[in-house]
Amino acid sequence: MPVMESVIGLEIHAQLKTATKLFCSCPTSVGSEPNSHICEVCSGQPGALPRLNAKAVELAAWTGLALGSKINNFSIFSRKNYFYPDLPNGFQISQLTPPICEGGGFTLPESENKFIRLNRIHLEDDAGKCIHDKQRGLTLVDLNRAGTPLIEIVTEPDFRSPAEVVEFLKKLHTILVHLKVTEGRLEEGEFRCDINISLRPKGSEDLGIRSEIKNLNSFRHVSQAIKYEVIRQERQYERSEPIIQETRLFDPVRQETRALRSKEEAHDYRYFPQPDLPSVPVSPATLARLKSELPCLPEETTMVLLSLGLTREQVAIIQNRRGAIEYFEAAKSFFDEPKQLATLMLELLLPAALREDIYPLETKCTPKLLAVLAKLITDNTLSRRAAYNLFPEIFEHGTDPKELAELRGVLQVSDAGAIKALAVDLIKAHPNEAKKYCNGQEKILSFFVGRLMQQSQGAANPKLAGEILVRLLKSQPK
Amino acid sequence: MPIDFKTTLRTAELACLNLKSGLSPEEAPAALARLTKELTDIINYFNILNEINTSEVEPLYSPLLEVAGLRPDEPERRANPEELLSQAPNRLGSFFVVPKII
Amino acid sequence: MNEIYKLTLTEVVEKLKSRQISATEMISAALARIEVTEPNLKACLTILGDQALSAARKLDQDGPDPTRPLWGVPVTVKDVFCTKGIRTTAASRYLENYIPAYDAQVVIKLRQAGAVIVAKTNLDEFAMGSSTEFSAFGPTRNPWNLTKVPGGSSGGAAASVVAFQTPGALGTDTGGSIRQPATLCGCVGLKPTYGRVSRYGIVAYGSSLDQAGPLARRVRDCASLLSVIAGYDDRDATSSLHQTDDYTTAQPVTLRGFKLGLPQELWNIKLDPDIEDALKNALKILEETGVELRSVNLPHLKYSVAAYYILATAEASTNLARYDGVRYGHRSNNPQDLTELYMASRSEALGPEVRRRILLGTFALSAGYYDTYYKKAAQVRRLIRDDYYQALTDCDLLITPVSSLLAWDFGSFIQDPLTLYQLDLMTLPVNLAGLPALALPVTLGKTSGLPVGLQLIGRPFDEINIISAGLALEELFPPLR
Repeated sequence: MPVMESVIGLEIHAQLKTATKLFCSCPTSVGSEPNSHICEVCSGQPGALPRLNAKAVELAAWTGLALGSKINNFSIFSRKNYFYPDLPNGFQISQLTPPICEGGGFTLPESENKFIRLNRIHLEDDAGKCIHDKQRGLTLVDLNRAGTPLIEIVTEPDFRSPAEVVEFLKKLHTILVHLKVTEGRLEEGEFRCDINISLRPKGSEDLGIRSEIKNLNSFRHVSQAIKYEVIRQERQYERSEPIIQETRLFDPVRQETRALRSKEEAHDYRYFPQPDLPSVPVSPATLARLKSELPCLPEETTMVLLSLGLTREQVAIIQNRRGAIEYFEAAKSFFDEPKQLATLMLELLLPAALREDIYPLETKCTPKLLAVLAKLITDNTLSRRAAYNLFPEIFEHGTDPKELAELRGVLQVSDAGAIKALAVDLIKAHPNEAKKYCNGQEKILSFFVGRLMQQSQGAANPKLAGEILVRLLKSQPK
Repeated sequence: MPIDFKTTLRTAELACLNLKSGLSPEEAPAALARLTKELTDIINYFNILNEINTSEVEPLYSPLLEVAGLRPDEPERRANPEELLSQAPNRLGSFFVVPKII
Repeated sequence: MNEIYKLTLTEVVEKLKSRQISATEMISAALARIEVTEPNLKACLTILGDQALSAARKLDQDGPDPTRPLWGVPVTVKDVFCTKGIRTTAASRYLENYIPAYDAQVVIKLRQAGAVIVAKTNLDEFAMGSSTEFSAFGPTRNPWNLTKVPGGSSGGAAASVVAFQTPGALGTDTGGSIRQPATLCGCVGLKPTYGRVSRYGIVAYGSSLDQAGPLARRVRDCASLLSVIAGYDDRDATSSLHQTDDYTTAQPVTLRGFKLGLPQELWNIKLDPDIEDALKNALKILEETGVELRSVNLPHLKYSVAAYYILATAEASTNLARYDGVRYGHRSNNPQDLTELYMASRSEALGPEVRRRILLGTFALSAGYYDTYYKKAAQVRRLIRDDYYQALTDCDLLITPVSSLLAWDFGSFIQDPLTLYQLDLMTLPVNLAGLPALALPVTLGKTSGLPVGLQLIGRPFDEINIISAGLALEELFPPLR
């Protein structure tokens, strides 16, 4: 058998961040009562007609701009026909030709700067949800999600390894979240992908018969599913068994992919232009405005943040959290010490905001308050530990950190005189320990520092205290 | 392009129609044959379009001369969800219900 | 005034405005007339007695309102217009008990204008047919001869107007469904330009062809109704922003020198002798009045029935996919699985003609046939539209017959769908081209005593012109009696 290589292409669905559905004015919010966000349009009532959401068009075009695609002045919606309980009209409204964006792509820095080409980006509406009630032997249908706007991003079959796929997906996710095109919550299925995989002899230009793994919403599962599927197909080749073009699902528990029943494969979608929707315009003026509103791409921000002395890991966390960059920029405008700010955000603010499920900018701990806190630490006016103790109060009530520190009496004493007085008393009180220091047991310094901190009730600046103690201990008569 | 039983059945399956509905097993074959004949006659008639060369003609899917405006992304209440649900022939709480999908 | 139900819509408006009659009197008269005529006519599927009367009493309490042009006027709407809280069946078993949760845009507009809907009229199931014989609830009869069909699909609307149930009605026209029954029953019917009237809330048949329009006994009455229902609707993406005219102020055109184009391909078709006779005579009268009759050609006309039935059924096949037994309408008892739920619910409750058209449309869109049928038909559609545009460059309007047959006997074509489809040749190309057209009665056939009509076809959004010409023709060919 020749050496085989895997050929992989992706179809990524991202839920657009709009207030209303793609073709009606129902809200897109999740977690509501079943079928509480439905109307005549998204529940497929007779006579109801779709009306396209302008924001969704702009977000799709924006994505295209960010990913280097060509934006079509006119694109067309088509009906994709099939019967399923979560599809109230008996057709999905999607785009065939021409889609809103064509082409584009980006490089993967950790895969030797390989360029992955995009085939297209198009708009379509999501289906509702079927919930299988095993106890009653029924399937329950909730149409709240039906009609939610999606973009589907289709790549060329340019991937050769799971690592490339995962790097691409992570980068794409970061970009889309950064652009605020999508909330990108993986666990909610707001960013999910289908993977097309085939094998071919290395060096060949042909495409083999592919299988499609549907609906993965975890980067880890993507990697595992590809690994499994490649091995499965290799074995098929080894046994000279034909690969069937089919849809498969990944089972993360068993770590394998399984074919869907062939009956569900018998689709003939009968695409045709949706007669209820004229072609979708993106005028040159709209395009120009969208271009001007395009924020710095994550890649550029990454460079800036790294150059400020943040680690790659810190940068990634800040970028992946919604609104974190804005918060960071705002705080930096008050106190330009990026590393200190980033540390406080990573260790205090972002976890707290996550617990409360709110955006960083919506918290009571405003960027200005965090900047004040950062300055107190940097100036040695507040110990890091004291700062961390104060934070919950600041986060909860928006209290000024300096006032709070004064109130709690935890501002550090950097008054050398006061510290010296304490140190002199301390050395007098512990002559044996002082002697040990003089005899070379320098580690005993920490004993003195600890006592001093204790006596100052933690208010002394430990660094300063250490320095003063060393000076006094060294100068005592032998 | 004559269409045969298989095409009729395949088309009916795509359209989710049971051509034997309401017919006894004895009636069904004749009814299917008659339907296939009707469809064949009509589709043969459609083939008249092959007389025209349309290779240079852009399809016209809708007579509309304009491009539609778009809808602002603002929530708006329309039909009442409970009124919509009240039309369901089978519901459980606020769910629509279908037989179990395996 | 014991026969106020016989007044034209324009007369009703005047009498209501001047308070010579009250809205309650007018609505009561219409309901009484419906009660008298329905047993024979069967034009209505749902009669809104109490609702209509309480609406009328409310209007009377508030008094006439000059901003509401149809204040107190009784009307019917075809049972494809969704009416909130009122059963809307599309004459299908599938929707027999369906109560919409929302109103069609034109229903809203009618009510805003002060009109009172007194009944919902019969039609061929889902507007697929031209005789009302495909109504799941039985056919409507022709007021001129109860053994004849009223035409269709808006047969209930046409019969209702002609039998004086109301002075005006709304129907829909996908391939002639307003104009053909108007002619077979002997009233005026207007199909507006595609996009002129909102389709929101109209049970869809062929989405790129459907258009709502008025039927009445006078051209001016149709104009009044059109003025109320025309205009942009932001819930229908295919509704047009094109300026509407005040159709109520239309004046008859000067016929001397008016150029009417006669499409040869349509006038060469064999007509019923009564129709042939009546129309030849009508053309002679027009010529004598000074109308310039010009021959024009529609070279691709003979392909229009095939193109139309491919496109209309293709669109219908997916428009009707929502009738699946899940969210509303008929559901089969105890289906074993999902497939059976779909198959049985649809097959049990959709009639044979609807099923036939769904099959045809599904076929035309299916893999391997799309280019040969659906795409080809869309290409031919452009050629047909261009033919009509071209023909209209040389004349003010086109004039054609509406139907090659007089109202026919029940059952004549029920086993012969293809022949029935071919009968739509005079009307359906207008829908392919999206143009406005007016059908108006000319006379009664000499031997049959059944109505004969003519069709005027205009440029896009030029309804005002066909109405003005219709007013002039109406003076030459007075309403039938």
